[in-house]
Amino acid sequence: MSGAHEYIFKYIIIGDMGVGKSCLLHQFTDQKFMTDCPHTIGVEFGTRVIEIANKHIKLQIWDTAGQERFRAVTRSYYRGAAGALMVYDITRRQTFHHLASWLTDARNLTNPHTIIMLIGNKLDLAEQREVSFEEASRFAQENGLIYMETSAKTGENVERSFIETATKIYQNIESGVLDPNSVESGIQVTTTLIEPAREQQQSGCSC
Amino acid sequence: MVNQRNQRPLLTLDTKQKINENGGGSSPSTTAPQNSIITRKVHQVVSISSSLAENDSLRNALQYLGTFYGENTVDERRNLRGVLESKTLDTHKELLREFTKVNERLELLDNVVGDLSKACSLIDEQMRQHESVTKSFLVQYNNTQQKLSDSQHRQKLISTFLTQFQLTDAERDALLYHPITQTFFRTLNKVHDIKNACTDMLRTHQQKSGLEIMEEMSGYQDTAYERLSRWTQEKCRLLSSDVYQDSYADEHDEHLYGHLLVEQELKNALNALSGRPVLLRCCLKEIVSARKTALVSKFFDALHGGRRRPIEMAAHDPVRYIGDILAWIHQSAASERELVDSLLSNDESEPGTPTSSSSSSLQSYSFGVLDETFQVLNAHLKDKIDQILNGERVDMIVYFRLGHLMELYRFTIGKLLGMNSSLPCYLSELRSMVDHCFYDVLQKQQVVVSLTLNLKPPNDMVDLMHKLTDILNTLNQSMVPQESREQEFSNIISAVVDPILSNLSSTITSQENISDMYVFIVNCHALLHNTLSPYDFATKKSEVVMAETDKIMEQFISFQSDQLLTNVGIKQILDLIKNNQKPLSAVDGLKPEQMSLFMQSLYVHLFSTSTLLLSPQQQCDKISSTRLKVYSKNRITTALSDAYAQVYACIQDLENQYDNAKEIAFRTPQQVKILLE
Repeated sequence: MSGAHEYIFKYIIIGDMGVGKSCLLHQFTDQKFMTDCPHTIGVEFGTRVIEIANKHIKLQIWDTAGQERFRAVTRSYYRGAAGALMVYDITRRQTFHHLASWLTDARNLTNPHTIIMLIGNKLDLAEQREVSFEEASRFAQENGLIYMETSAKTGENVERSFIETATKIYQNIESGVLDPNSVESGIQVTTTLIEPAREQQQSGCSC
Repeated sequence: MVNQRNQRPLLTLDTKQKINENGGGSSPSTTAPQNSIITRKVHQVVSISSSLAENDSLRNALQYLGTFYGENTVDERRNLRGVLESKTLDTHKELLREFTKVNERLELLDNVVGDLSKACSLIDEQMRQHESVTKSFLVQYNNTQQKLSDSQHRQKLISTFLTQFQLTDAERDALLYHPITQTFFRTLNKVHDIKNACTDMLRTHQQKSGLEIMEEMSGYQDTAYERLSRWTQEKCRLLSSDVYQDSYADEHDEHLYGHLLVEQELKNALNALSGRPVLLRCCLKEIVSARKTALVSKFFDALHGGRRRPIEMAAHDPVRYIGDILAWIHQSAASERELVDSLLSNDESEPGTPTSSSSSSLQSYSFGVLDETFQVLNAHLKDKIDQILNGERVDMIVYFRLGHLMELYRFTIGKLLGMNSSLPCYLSELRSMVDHCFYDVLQKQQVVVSLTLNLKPPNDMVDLMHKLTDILNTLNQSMVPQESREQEFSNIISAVVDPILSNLSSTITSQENISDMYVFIVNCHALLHNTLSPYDFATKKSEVVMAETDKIMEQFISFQSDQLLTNVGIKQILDLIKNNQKPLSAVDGLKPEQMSLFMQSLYVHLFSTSTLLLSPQQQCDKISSTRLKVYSKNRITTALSDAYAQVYACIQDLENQYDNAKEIAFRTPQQVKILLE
């Protein structure tokens, strides 16, 4: 019953070129690390069903190209995202400096309840680190973001980051902050009706 | 009872006898002494009394005697025998009476027993008769018993056969009348299995029944499939229900999306129908039409809906507008794809899923369904493009960007819907339409490049080059592969750059002030070169332009040098040197005194270089490229110093017999060169 899910959450992954956005996505959807990940052209997407509070939730994740020349194209995809993962590379300070510009885009183009998570990727290369955890953590705090360091290579924290974001979104739905039926929420309620108990009962009678 | 009656008299008799014996013993008192008699009597009494205590019968006898024996008188004693005998007689009489009664009873009993015996023999007789009759029945019974067990066995076989080759009433009802549930699919599956089994049956000698059952099952199948198809079509029609419901009623202007139910039954139904492609196609048509409805209403909702940022808000910026629309389509394509894939998945593990081989092809329909569904957006997309194309004057770069946007999405959406599906193909159609507009405008942009006063490229051309830069930037940033990028580039070049180049080269011959012309052309070329050189795909063309520039530069330099040498007069000298035999000092025009005069005036010219080189340098200064400017200046001075070196060498040559060569040309070429530089 892999197709059975009550909600679809739309995610978007943004950040500079080469920070490992596509690798994060692949690590999350396929539990694999792609060693030779080609540059993303335009926008690609992946899905995975997760479980939060006994609810099956399908994450529909849009992975955008980080190259500046695609920026105009990728901007069209922010609309209606329930979650945004903003990724930088902890070994390249430059990518951290560009976060402000990504954040501006994310804030301007998504809705106010969109959960934005800051992700410092390439934790496996921590010895080449150029951005300290504390500094990024401060940046996240100042901007009201959830912050986490991950490694798409080893898979460390990858699952956690996606699930934590989804949990926040789900909490927002539960508490009524977010109306899952409104289009801009980035959430679709799709009840796939399968009631095996009912079926069995009926078949029992007719045989 | 008889015994009890008899006992008493018997006992009485015994007692009497004893008494008699005792009485007999006491009578002879005369024959024995008195003492001994008395002793004997006492003894007798004692023994009697002791025996009385022990003997019940004697005591009973004496008690009985007591009932009628009164005073112990002589009379009484004498009469006792008689009394006793009469009593005995009475007793016997009574006994006789009683026995007579017993005898009567016994006779009665004898009669009864006799009757019984008769009856028994009668029964025996009858039994014997019946036995002979029943014997045949027994045989019959045994036969029947055998037949029964045979029948039971056959019944078992038949019921097994029936469960395997026939439907139960409940199953038939489920298949033909009841609402569609998992039972329906299980039964449908069974019908399918039965038909398969019948095929096997046709190989045995049960062909006839095989055919009959097959026919029956086919009948069921046909009806069931038709029912299923109707049911499925109805269900499919409901798939259009994830459209928003009445947004205007909601004060917050929020759009509610209905829940899209994809029931397991519907999946099973589509799976089952894959055995009947004709019916399946009808259902797929319903899906397509339902999804079309849903898609269009979602499309318009995304465009105009009262959301925070409807796409229509970007309508003033055509590239952003169409980009947003295409991004929306891309995202919808992803969602639609998931929906259709989940509908048309052949999940064999599900119960009641027919395992017909054709079901594996169910997924192959998904591209078709998506293709047809998204066709509905073609017209809307065209509307939007037309709006832009027919709207206010649009900058041609917009056309170009739109074209590239379409190319990007043709690829992106094509990955989801299939590259050959309608929408991506339509996008490439739209692209060629937009491209057509682009090239149309581009061609009109052509400038007639005519000589300007300041020899710089005309403003028209500068504008055009700005636009070209925009275009080339877009091209550079587009995702089209290098080859097609080069192809596109060559198209643009042939529309923009080539006309300019040919225009420029044609002006060279027609112009009188050729020097200006050269500078002008070089400047135009430099602009072209600067515009093209940053781009990888333009390398070839910019090299061509570069070569052309070099050619023109050569012409310009040689023209300028020629002019300079002529003005100075050195050119004529050189001509004479070249055309005459040694000794040259004898040639008219090269005579020592003439040469001396010429050299003196030359030195004057050289020392006032500013006047000498003014005209060519001014010309060179009009070259906009600093590199070319310096280069041309150097080349011209070098030409002059080279010419001087030739003349100097000629004068110094002894064979030319200039007597005072040192005086005629007292500056070495080295000195002149330094002077010029």
